[in-house]
Amino acid sequence: MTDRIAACAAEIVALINASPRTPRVDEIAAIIARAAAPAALAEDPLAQRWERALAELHAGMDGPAQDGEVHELEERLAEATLAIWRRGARSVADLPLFARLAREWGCADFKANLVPSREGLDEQSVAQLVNAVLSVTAA
Amino acid sequence: LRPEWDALRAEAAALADPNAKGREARAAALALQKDLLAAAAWVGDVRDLADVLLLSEIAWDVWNLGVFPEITEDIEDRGQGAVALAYLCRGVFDAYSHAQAIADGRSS
Repeated sequence: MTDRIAACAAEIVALINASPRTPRVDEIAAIIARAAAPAALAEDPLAQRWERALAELHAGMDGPAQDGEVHELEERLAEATLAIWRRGARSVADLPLFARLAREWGCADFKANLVPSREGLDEQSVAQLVNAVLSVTAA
Repeated sequence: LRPEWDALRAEAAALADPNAKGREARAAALALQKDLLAAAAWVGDVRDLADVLLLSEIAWDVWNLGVFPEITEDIEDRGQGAVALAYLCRGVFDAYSHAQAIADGRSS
């Protein structure tokens, strides 16, 4: 048994013992998803394609790439993103990837938007949701 | 916060009727109540997928994306932030529904 699976089992036992009521399925599913998420994403061809496109874009922006080349890399990343969105989330294990996409595309300053403020509720709502997904799935 | 949020959504649906009594004042109060509930949800603990679903519905409402969780055909006209959020919210809804289906014995 790997450390990750052992930790997952311990969390489920702790959840069962934490309350006299039976845990709900989504509570247990979230714990299992935390153990399964990295493996699920590592085996997902669309996630791999997106990671590759993102890394290539960052390398292109940091390196000597010309404007046209950077634009092409941006297009490639956009296509990889669209492919994931069009497929949709198949289970809780896919949510960390969707959260990363939202963080990448929809929240310019993630950490700043986690601080409550009366201004910028739209970006705060994205940051809070992304943070919640990553927290529940522990990605 | 789920019961309060559902009550606010019901109030919003009632105010969709242009002949609703005191519509403007009620709409202003509703907007304020939604902001307060969002603030409470954001500082509260997120324990499970049900809590994440509530945050998804709140974000969807803040961005005025229409009927949760239906992504409209013109979503890409709203800009990349709205598109990314819409698909994340839809993903949360689908994952939550998937977990519920397993709980009900409707899926594996």
